[in-house]
Amino acid sequence: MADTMAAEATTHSPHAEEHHTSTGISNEKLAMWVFLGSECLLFGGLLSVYMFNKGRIGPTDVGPNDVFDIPFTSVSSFVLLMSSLTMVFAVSAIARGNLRGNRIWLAATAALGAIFVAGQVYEFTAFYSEGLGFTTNLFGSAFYSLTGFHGAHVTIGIIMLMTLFVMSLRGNLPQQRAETVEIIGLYWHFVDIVWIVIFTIVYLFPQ
Amino acid sequence: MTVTDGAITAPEETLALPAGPVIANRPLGVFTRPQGNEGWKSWLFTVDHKRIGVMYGAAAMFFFLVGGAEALFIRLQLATPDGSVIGAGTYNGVFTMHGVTMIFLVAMPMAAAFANYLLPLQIGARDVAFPRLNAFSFWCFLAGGLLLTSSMLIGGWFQNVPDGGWFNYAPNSGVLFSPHKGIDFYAVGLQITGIASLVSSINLIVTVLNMRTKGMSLFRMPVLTWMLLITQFLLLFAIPVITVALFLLMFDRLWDANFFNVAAGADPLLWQHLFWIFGHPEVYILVLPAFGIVSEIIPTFSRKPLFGYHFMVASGIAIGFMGWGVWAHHMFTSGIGPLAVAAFSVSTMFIAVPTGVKILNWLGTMYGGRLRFTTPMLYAVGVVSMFTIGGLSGVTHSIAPSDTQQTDTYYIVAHFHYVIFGGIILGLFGGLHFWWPKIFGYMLDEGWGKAAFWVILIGFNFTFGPMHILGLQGMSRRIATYRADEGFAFWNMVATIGAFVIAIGVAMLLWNIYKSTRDWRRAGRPDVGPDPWDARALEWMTASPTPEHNFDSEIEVEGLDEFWHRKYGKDETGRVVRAAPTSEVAHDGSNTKVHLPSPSYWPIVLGGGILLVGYGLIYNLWLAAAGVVLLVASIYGWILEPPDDPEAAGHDEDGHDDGDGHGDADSNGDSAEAEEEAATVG
Amino acid sequence: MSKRPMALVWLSSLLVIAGTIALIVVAIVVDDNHPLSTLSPVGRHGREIAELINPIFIVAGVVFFLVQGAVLALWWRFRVAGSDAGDGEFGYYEDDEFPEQVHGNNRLEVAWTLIPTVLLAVISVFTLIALFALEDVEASDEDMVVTVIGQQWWWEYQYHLDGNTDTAPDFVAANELVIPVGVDVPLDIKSRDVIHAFWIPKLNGKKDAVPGRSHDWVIQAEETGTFRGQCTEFCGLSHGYMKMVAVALTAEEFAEWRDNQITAADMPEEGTAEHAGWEVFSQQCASCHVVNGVTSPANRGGDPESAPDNWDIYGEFNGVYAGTYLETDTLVAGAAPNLTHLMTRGTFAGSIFDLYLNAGAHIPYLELAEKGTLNRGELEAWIYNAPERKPADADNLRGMPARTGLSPDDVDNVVAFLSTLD
Repeated sequence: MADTMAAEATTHSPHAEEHHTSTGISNEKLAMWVFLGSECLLFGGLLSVYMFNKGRIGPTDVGPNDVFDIPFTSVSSFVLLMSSLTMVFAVSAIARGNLRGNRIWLAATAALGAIFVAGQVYEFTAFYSEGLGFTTNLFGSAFYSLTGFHGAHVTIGIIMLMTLFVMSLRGNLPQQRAETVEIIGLYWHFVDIVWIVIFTIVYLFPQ
Repeated sequence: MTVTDGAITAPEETLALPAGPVIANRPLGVFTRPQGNEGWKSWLFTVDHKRIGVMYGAAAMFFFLVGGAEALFIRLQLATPDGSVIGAGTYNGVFTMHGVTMIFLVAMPMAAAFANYLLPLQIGARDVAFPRLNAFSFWCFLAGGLLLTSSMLIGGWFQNVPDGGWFNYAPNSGVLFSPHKGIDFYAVGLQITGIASLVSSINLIVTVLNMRTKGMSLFRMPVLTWMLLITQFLLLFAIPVITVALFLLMFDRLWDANFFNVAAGADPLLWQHLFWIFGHPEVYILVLPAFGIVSEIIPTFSRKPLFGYHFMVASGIAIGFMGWGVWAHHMFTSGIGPLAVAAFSVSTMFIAVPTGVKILNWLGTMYGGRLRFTTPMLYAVGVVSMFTIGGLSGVTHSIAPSDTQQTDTYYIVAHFHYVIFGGIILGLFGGLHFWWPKIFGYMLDEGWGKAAFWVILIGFNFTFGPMHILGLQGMSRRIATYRADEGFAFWNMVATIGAFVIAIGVAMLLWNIYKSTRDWRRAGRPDVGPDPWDARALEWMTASPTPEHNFDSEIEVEGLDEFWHRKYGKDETGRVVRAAPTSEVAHDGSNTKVHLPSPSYWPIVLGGGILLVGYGLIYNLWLAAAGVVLLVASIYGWILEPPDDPEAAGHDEDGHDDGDGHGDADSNGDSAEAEEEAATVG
Repeated sequence: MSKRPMALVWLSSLLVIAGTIALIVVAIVVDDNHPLSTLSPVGRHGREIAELINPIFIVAGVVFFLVQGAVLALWWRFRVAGSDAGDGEFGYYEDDEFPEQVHGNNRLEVAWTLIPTVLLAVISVFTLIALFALEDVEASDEDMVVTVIGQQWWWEYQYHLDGNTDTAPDFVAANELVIPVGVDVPLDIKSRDVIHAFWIPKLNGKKDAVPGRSHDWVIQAEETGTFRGQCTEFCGLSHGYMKMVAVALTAEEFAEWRDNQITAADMPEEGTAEHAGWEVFSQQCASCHVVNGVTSPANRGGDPESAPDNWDIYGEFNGVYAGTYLETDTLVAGAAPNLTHLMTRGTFAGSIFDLYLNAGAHIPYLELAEKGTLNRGELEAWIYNAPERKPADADNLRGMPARTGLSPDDVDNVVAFLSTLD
């Protein structure tokens, strides 16, 4: 922690004093951590609802085994995981003052996220054509709610990344604002980690 | 230095330019920021935590009168057997709205009023961490409150009002059994107030953790600050759980999902678990701020430090943790199985321990003190006394076999009114009298204040005391009427009379506010001084009413009760002696060279967007779409609006779309981030 | 008011304390005419609960008086007389005396943490013992199981004399649960629509009736008698009007009652008012109400495929009620009470109205139909316009619809027909 602090102090040199806080963490970053704490409960709740309900379907109903395409989803999960890596590169690039590198990695992260969301849209369409709608049964309602909430989070993340990208193009994302990228990165990593949990529990656990 | 992180600006720093070429040249700044601190605009667009706190308080008082009127209708209906003052349908709506109003629109925002006003002052900060976000929290709360309250009027008197109880158990809340729009108002309205609470909790947590003045370590913070901090953490983790439950309900009602559709195999107990995992911490969310207020008042009027400060803080934290492990005691008869009942029965018993520690510490504070029974002190001691009754009846509920007799009877109604009215409302009213001179600069009349207290206290005991007996005699909750031969008539009549006595007491309290204000104006607005009660915490160290910039200069704290120790020291023999006159210690608010955050149009516009989305979800999705457009526009406006600080760096932060537009936790988080970013320049 | 408040203070506190004591005394003294009271249990379970909680009430009472006494004693001992606000200018206090500045006492803190903990630990042991004993519903050696089904806004009782709840019940009753005295009768509590709670306060605590779930419960009366109950989980519009009754009979009386309940009703002779009433009943009432032997299954909701959603959806899922509607058509009322033995009951319409004017304690339960004076006015008003007597949402099949199309003669004839159902 002390090291990050020192790093921040240098990257923020012109404004170093103004970020003095009791904890040493900037308000914005602390707020993001606190917010993510709350998000854990949101996804925890949705996951519990899913696990509670996934088995509550009749013997002839469309269930997980009828629709899941594990290899496909594994690939899209891998894509999302890779986006966390590119996000790390983006943060490290701007911390070093490499604004062009920052833009490239931001764009890459957003693109990988978009591929994931596109995969989800494709998956939803496929499931729907196989007879699993939102209202079909409890599994459908719970599955679409959980993954839909996650997809919305990824989408919002993409929009934020794109905005950062545009800002950077316009010269409004200098090295001094590296922490902004870092904060968005926190959100992005969180969304990725949530997906790992969802993927494991929803797709990989025995049905 | 910027002002947004609230650090005290050095006095010699010049005022920011109010408007100027720098702002005018902002390429994307749609509007310049509003200016001025007088008139209605100074309230609508304010980002000042004190004004926001006052607005929270005023809104809560308004809703208190609404909820109180509902209570009187309940009591009229039940005054006699086979009552027919209002029919069963209206009665169900009235008791539902009474509960929802009093919990979500009175107790929570009134606590938020104190939190907003006092937290920054008590930790010596300039403002909260994110002032605009703070304003948004209020407008969002108000939007939710108005949406909920409007359900009583829209489409006819009590035709579309939530009528499933505040607990709103499935499947009675489904479209099949509640075909009108009342439950939609409930689901959407509570989500909106939930967004407000969540945003506010993030803001206040960051404020307390990050913006304490020099030397204000965690264990030098006043107990009120501690209790409010714990409350915010409870909110932070409880709100998402109810959000999930409300989403499921909304999906079921609006888009035919199956979460509570028993025909599709759903188990209605899912709602109960989600609701009470939120609902029980909610009880502590309500009561901890009142505990904090009492912990400020009693030492002040005992002229002693709080007894066992560390134990008070620790018991608050213990309550905060244990509050998560007792939710199923609301479900002892729901069929959760004997093992679960046993576990929750025992865990519930032991949450009484930290609560008892608090009571005993207050008594310990009073012991040996020089007690002055001013109005705030009366309310505080009233809490100690009345909350004890609610706590003791609470222990009897934890005896699960006995709870199978008591649950859903008037014994429970009596219990939680002793907690919520006797503990929380009395505590908040005590705080109202205590901090009134700090907030408005003049005292409330003590004679009327005390008289109102006694009338309220007596009416309260006559209203809710008999309900213990009614419950044990077998009177169920939520029944619109009862048979004459069931033997409930006498105590119901007593309770009804008591309720009207409370109403008289509340009217006296309001009259006191009016009269004191009038007298103060007639007397030429005399100055009450910074510290009329000879109090202990930092908020009394600045002028009354609190100047917009809070403190003239940064305070360096050396211990608990810093302000007290600046006023009083000890002589060689260890006797307490005055070290310095209050006027020398306290700030006079004369420093005008403090740079403050500018007001903003966007928080209220954003709140309006959320209100539109809310009505749109209930009535017409096109309206919701319009609301989303407004929402997105105001988020961009928020981000792009110029800081008033010409020194600030580039400001047009990441704007981002509120993609799903549900006005949910997502968009909430989204705007929260927008604010997080924007606040660095705003 | 500046000098008066102390007198007011003491007067008021005395008033509050005296009021509290008076409340408690009166409550205990006048309890005997409260038919729903939990304070005077008649059933074994109710009594065991009372035996568990009464000492705890006493402990709580002691703590209550200790704390309130401490508040008043501190008030009396440490108040500073004449020190209302505003002694000094601007409301300042000018008080140069200070009490000893005590910050706390760790030993005391530990003590008042540990003492309640130990006390509660002791209470929890007794609680757990009682809890597991009371929840042990398997303990009963009674064969008969009654399936209790809540629906908006009345109770149905399906008697399974052999204890097998998977098969059709032997007979069906409504609102009034008749049990043999002194026997632990196992109940199987269910719901057809929303959540209800079954509660006969004098016999046992309550248990929720949750749709899709089946809750085991048990009820026992140590004396014969009629015990009132009330649905205690909010269940919508007429929740307050959803009551029930438990009747404990001696073993012989119970056998007599049971043997009568199993019989079907007799078709009234043609040409009589009763027969005319049956005709009206068949057309106007029999799509919901079953009278074994004289209403046809075809009257019952017609084609199950086209039956309204909320009739059978809660029946078919999970096998909880599988088949009960269609296979045992003549026995089980779908949406309204089975009226085969209406006249043997003391109440109707969710037990909110007395069926007989002179019931009370004067007529033995088994002789109600014979000796009772029918509460004709209330019954006719109910048949003619039920929603006026008990709020209902009949458009959505919740509660009994109005039959205001009936002529006075029709109503008379229906009452005549119903009067044969004993």
